[in-house]
Amino acid sequence: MKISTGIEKLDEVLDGGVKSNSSVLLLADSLVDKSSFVQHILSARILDNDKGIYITTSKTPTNIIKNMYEYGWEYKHLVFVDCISSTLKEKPKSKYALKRKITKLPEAFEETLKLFKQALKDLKGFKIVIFDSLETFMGVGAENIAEEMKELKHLFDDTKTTCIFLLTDWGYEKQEIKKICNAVDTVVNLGTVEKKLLWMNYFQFDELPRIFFQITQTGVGLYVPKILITGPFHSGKSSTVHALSEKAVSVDRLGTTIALDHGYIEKKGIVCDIFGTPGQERFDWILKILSRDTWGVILVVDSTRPETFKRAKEMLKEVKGYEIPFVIFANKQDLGNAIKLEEIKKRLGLPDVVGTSATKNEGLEEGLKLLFDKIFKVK
Amino acid sequence: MRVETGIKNFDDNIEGGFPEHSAILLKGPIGIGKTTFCNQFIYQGLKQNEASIYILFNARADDIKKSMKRFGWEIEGKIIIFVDVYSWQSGELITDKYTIINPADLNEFNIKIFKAINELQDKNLKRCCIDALSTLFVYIPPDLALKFVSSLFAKLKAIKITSLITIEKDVLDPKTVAVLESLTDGMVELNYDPIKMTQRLIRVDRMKDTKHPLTWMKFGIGDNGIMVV
Repeated sequence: MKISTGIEKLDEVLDGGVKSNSSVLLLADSLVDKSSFVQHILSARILDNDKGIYITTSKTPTNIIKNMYEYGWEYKHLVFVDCISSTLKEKPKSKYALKRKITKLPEAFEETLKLFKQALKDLKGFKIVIFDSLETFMGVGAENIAEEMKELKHLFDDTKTTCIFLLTDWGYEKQEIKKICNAVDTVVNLGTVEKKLLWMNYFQFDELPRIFFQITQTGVGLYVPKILITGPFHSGKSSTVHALSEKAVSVDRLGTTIALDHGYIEKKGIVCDIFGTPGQERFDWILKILSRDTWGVILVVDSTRPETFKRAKEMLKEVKGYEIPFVIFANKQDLGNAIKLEEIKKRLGLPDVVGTSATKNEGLEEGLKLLFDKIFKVK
Repeated sequence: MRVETGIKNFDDNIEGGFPEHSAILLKGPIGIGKTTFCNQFIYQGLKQNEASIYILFNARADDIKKSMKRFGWEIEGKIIIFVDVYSWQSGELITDKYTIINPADLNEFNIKIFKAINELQDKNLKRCCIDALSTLFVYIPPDLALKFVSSLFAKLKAIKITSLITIEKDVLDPKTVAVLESLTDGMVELNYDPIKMTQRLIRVDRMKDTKHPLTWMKFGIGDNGIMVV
């Protein structure tokens, strides 16, 4: 049986979610906030009536709860295995806690596992366990950790437990990492790439494409850093940007965009920056600049003015629209003299045309979804 | 190019300053003047309109600013980010984005340092101070802490920052100190004169690409900061 992680796209790449009663490793690079990522999953599981157990070696339970509260995540009945409070000279509140600071690492690891196993036995029903995180114990040797993890697997089966281990790779030997990876059923990578001083987080399963995400107030959302909205003069690009995004800004003059529109979308687990281009030919040089590194293009055409279609196709070519995912918004469909969608498709000779009305906010979400589907075409 | 420490008569002994993009370890007992050394090093950069990152384990940013003011080092309006790994102890609500909430969480620490680096990268970021790194080892197993430190030093070097890292004498075990030494490009040691206990001494143990004396030199802390005699 598969269980949902609460992150739609992650479920999709994992073919329906995580196998229940199994172990997962989230192998993260040092710039990903892996704890917040996994807390989103934890919350989804708790909402699905799993019992949550959080083994913490670096954050105090209070701070974990605070973080989950701030994101609006569910943490009811969450049980902590607290291996940090005593190190920070704080009195641990949990029943499962190291009562004193243990300086010898092997001993600390052993004690932690003991508490963990006890908690597994005490709690009935389906359980989700977060182990945050393994690197604290890497000093006892990857081999020893891997062995313990393999042994735990039997226990997971017996106690209906799905366990997510976290490990930040602080530059361990490949062999060490491999050993840990081999000790679990599923490995998901969490990484970052730097692009022009911008750090982008992604998750990746197997050899499948990386899926970029951002953690915002609504949780883990897929991140599309740039979508370009282009189209001929007066086709309704700015209106489209503003209709899609609540907080959009435009650089315009008497209502005509002369530099760009910028909007930010946060919908249905997707976070996205959108840029609207000017439509006039004399601004084509801006079009070229804006089209760099874009992930997808929305081409807006005016359904009432078929004479502009040629220019529209040229613009799409200008932003390399044939090579990157694009959709076409046949705008102003609400007007009486609008050409029918089928006719527009025929005249443009391009696929994926959606009828929209930016002013009435119709068809936009549907079109956006189509574009996101094309961008995230995983298989 | 050398990176001046701003310490009178000291820079002359090390060819004008620390080698560029190096990581220098500053070792000494409590109260000898390590933090003043750091403050002076940071202020020297700020004075030249360089940006700095100051990672604090044993004091608040306000404490540092106050002690700098005592020497007439005004940093108001200068470009500096304090990464605070101290205030969490107060239990107060932390809202500052560069204050660490979980001192044992290297992941959080790393992300916040890099946010600071990101913010300053196009603002002439040249210097970084970590005072005192030894405190990190109180919360984190040494193996892990050293892994982290090594990755941090590598990154600081890669983005061409010169860093000064202090450690308290006798807090860390000798093995850990040996690894820290191997990760850095130089070491400066401060100590009291074993005979005349009130006399402070400074010595350059080693420094890459630098000709320097190996003798102990006397130094004092006056109205204008540290001064080597």
